[in-house]
Amino acid sequence: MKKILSLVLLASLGLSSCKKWLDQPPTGALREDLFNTASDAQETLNSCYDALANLYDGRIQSISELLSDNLQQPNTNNDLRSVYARQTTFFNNTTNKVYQDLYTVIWRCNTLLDNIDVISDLSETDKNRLIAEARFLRGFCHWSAVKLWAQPYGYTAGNTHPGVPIRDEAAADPLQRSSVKEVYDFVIEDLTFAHDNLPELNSVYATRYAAAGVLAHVYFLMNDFSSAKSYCNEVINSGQFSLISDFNRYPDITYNENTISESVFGTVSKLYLLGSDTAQDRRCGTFVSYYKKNNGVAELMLSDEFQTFINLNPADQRIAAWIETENNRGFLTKVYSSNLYSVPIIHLTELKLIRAEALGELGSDLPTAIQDLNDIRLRAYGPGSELPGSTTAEDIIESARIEYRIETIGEGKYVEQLRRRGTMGENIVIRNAPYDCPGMAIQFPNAESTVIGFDLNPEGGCN
Amino acid sequence: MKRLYTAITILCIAWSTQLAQAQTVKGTVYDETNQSLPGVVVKDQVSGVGASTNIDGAYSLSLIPGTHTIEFILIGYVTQTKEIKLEAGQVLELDVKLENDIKLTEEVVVVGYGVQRKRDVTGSITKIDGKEMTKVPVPSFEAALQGKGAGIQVSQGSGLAGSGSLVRIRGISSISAGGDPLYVVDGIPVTQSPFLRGNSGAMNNNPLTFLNPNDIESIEVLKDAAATGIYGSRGANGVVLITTKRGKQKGLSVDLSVRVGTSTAASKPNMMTTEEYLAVRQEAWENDGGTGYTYLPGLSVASDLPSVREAKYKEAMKTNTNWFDELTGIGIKQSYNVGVGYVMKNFKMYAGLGNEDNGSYIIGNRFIRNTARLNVDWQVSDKLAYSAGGSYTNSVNHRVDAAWSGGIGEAMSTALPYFPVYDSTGDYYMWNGGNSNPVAYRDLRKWVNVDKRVITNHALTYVINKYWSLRGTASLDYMDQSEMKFLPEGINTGQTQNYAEKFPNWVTNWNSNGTINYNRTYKEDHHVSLMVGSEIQKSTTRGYSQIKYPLLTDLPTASEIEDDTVTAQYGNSFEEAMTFTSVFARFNYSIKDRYYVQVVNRADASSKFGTESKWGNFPSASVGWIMSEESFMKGIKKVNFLKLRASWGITGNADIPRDAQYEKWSLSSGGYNGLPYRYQTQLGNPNLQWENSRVLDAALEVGLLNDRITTTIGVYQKKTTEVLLQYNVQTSTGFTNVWANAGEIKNQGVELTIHSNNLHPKRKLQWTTDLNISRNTNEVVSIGEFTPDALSGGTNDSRVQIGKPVGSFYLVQFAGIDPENGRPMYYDLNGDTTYTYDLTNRQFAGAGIPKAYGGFTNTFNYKNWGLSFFMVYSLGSKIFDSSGKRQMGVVTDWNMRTDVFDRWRAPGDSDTQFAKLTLNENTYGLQTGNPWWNTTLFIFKADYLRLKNVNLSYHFKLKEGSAIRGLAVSLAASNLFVITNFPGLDPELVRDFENAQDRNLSPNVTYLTPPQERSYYITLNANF
Repeated sequence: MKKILSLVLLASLGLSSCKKWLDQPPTGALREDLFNTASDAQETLNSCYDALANLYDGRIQSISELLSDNLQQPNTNNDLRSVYARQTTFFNNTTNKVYQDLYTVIWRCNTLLDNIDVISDLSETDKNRLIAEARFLRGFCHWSAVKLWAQPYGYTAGNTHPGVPIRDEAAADPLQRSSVKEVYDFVIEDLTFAHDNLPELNSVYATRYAAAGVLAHVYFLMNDFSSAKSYCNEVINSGQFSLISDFNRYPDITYNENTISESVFGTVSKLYLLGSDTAQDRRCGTFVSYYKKNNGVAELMLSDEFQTFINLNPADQRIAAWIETENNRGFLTKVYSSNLYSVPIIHLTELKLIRAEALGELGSDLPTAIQDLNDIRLRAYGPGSELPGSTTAEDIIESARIEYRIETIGEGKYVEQLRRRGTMGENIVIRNAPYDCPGMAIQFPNAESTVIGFDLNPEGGCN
Repeated sequence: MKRLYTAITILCIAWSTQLAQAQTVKGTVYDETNQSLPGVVVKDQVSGVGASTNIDGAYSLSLIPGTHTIEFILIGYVTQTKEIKLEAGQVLELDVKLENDIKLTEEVVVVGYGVQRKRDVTGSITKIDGKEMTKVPVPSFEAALQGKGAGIQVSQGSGLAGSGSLVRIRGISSISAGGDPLYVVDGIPVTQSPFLRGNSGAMNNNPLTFLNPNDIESIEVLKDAAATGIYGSRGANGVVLITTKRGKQKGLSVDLSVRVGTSTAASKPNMMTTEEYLAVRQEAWENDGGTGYTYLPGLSVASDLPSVREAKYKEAMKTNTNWFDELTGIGIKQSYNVGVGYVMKNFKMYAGLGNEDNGSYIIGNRFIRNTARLNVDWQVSDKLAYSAGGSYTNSVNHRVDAAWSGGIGEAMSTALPYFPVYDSTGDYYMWNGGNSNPVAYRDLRKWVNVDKRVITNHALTYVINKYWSLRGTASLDYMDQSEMKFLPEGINTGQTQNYAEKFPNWVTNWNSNGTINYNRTYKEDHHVSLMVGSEIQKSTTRGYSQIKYPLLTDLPTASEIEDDTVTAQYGNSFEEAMTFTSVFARFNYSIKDRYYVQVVNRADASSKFGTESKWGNFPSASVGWIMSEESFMKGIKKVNFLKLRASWGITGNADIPRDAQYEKWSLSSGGYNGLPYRYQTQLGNPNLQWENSRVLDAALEVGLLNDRITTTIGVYQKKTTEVLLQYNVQTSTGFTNVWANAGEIKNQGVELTIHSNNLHPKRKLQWTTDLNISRNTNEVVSIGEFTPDALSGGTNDSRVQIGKPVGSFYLVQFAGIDPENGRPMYYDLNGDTTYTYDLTNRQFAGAGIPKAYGGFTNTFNYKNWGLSFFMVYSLGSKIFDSSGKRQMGVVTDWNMRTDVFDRWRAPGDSDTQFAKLTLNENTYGLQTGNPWWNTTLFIFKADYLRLKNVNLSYHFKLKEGSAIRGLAVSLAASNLFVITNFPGLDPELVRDFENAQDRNLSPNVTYLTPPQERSYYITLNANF
């Protein structure tokens, strides 16, 4: 009988040792199946850009823009209304999803960075480029997050106030918020590495100049005008970028052309042939839907304050080029309502204005600053609007700020400057509330705070 | 020839005796517990004259005068022989009691991979006779378990045809893994997931409907570790063993049953009429400072000119549609069943055919099921036996929208009473941009779920010698599920052509096991048995996300699909597999049929478990002591049976998605810049494993007054660790959730079952009472380093909170209404009142699981009449009326309930239930545009006592020798009334769930959930 017993046991064990039987993974859906070759790595990197482009199609820009005084209360969207009211809660699906998607980019970059060594057919050059691009996107997204979900750099003396979690590997370990200083340090480290390792040309993807442009912007928000100026110089002097001449920063794209000459870094839409069919990759949808006019209203419309501001100079050709009015409501339909366009995230106009203001703050090389401003002013107001060579640093700053506000309308950048200036001690009041009232920092998603000890942002206090 | 002769002789004798004033022997055959026994063969040994006892156990034989030897034969009982002497014309009364043939059966209990005598069982098992399954018309057999046993908590689903029930054995010890018991039909763990079709149309599918309750012989519910331990990693939430009928009675027997009944809504929602709704809206408008007439959703907007608003208001007043009445009516239920048994030497067979057409009270909603079953047993030789079983089920569910998906859900929400069903031209009046009108959707769209299912099993048993035997089985459970819809052109805005769509799933589930058994008695008193076995199982689910058939005029037919005569557009296909491999053993030792020890061990490995933790081991041990066998008990005459048993063991739960452990990646084309891209789609966990439940159980079984009263009282404690959690990961991973094992849940409870024959067995009136009470307490001891928001139940505001039961609500505490201004107030976490509705002030707001529940049955029998009352009850749970916050909150585009009439109107109104009416969320401290008012105002007590069923039956007296052995008719009503303080539709509810976690955490949430049905029916049973 023992024989029978042991037979049964052996049979069972035989089955169990059949490892394959006990492994039933989803077919072709494991990392081992999909992450092996150089092209796999390239396609993984493409998924980072993919997530970024879904984010910068107007979603993240609009949230930031709503914190400023450029827009009026959104028409119907309740999530956007609470952003405008600076009353976001952790159940705000729109802001939560933007936060999540920033970290989706970060996670995907981390999967590439963590696992790149398993890929054997990757040349050293490509490997360095992939790492540099991934770190560029990772740093950029951390910076995008800290700008919205925390009080600005400079809010506390040592920037010890809470920033956002730093996710530097593809691991789901619980994280607390790092301080704003730690986040900026991390961002600069990633971007500097990217800057030093990225090529000068890289199709529609991140280049050395993209990193320089972002770094210029980062340092500028830190009020580090000298570094900001240096990185601006690098981009502007490269000769790779030129100002557009027609006010059309968001033109409908064609088969062959999907970036504008002043785009230093951006996300692109694309029109291409798939077999004999036309296919399109559209990355501007949220801008279109938010700004599209329908029955005399749009979800996002210009504030009275902004309309008054831009009309102060009737010679401004951008009024006619960009703004449509109906029943005293101002629409940006002409800017954002084309069907298929790319979105420049860092552009030459902005960098010239940043350089001008930085030089004004530094009080050095004012002629360059004046020239930068005049490039923009000439385009906007026509001949005769140039600033004289004797313009003071103060006036340079003043002029740069005016143009910056107008040129970046809808891009969500103006409020960043207001908050930066607030940290410098200026008395900045945005729609009757101080620039650093609690609600200016967007509330974190509910799930982010499921880790015990996670500090939520204080709510309200802006009305 | 001989037979013909005998028949003629009998006929002649019968005829002659009738002339000569028949001599008759008659009476009733009982078993040891004085239950009458139908189907007993009563035969005169000499003349061969015979009959069977009818359904009441009565028999009657006409015999010639003289001495006779009468045999009473029933399988499973010791045959009795009685000598009688009949004088001419004498009518002799002879009642007989048959004893269980202990060697053969005594009462046996199915225990998983075998059977045990009931008295030998050392675990906690509730056996429910198959007859109980057919007493109440239920959508699916598991609903009939309600109230039938201690520790078995059943909430019947909504009134939708074919809907499932929520079954919990001894509370809930899982959070994200399935909390349902394991269902094993004739040895096969069957496909049972209610989420194969998600919650399409606000209904979870119910794979258990495939089983015809008429085919069920018995159900054993295994509760403690001693009982479920043999199912290892799948036993922790209890195991329900279903045994189907097999040939039982010698010769041919036929059972026929016909049932016809009605279905109506057991309760109706108190939605407002147009006049009421407009008045409420107008008051809210004026409270908010509005002047003139209020605007009306679907007709006007706030910024319209006053004259426009007035005109629309007056236009609205002309219509008053009761949408609930438009969508409901009286459903017809019909059920026809025939069961044929045939038993001869070495061969047994049962065949069953059933047809059921189960219409609900919702117009257009019907569940139709056809079932066929064949079970055979063949004793091939002294050594070898073969048995096989097979069933085929074809069911069609004619679907309607419900709850959030529309239909009567819409009637309770956005179908406003001033919307007409038809416009002035006779077309359907559509609102919401042409997308809404539940009557139009019901009439124009076709929607069916067609399920086909085959289950077959084969077993070979080989007896090696006196002690050893081998058994091997192989089984297949195949299910072909498809949901089909036909959507005519124009039903949705922008839909310019007809199309049909189909969502198919195919589940192939097979398993095979082999056991080796050893049985031996030493020195008469020492009985040893050992069973060692192994088992493998594999289940594969295939399907398509969608198959679309454009340009059709109707649902695709089978031939249209097979012949490819219609163009189909295939969505993504998927295929998932799951495997189990197990080895197990059970050792039993008893001394003098008095002291019992059982040790069970099972080791399970599964493809569901992570690579780092493949094998789980699940031991259990138990002891039993039949104290009534001891000499010191002999003096206590009133106690005829007393047994003490206790068990300890570890069982597991592995009911998680097949791919939960895997880090998954995906590849897509046409991504950014028109190029392909690949990325991670799911977080993995290579350490993922089963849950562990350590279960302690003890019980006392008592028989009093020769078993006139039997009772079992038991206690248990279940500590579950390594709880399977699909917790919300930090958003800063970019993902939503991940599976892990963490935390601890504790369940403990007391169970009491009483069966009592209240009147002396000799009396003509018999009254029996069955009562069971279960008390369960449940507590989440820990969930690791997370806040309550890490684990939530769908959209249901239920969260996992430390120190509270699984399935607790997490809401802002309502603090009453400020009598000065009519505004609602809330408590913050310090207990101070505030007007601000702040989500950080959410806190524990009650639990959805009951503290106690059970069933209470009283049955009366008098002569041919029977009357029974079956009640179920539940105590100590709360209901969160999640749709109530819209029906009784801020005035929006939802119709409202008349409860709202009790509202604040002027300063000083101090005891109203509801606040000042308003159209503006800010009045209630809510954010603009957010009317989802999750406060404890919508938490209600859910205690109830329901008259589940009342049944009056009559058993016809049949002439002896009649072809019909038994005939009975019964009239019954189910769900006649429910006693409760719950102000909503029904205190017993199961809403549609998003996933297993939602099902575990949100048991008592109603969201426009259809009320249960009430039904009246007549049943005819005949036996041949």
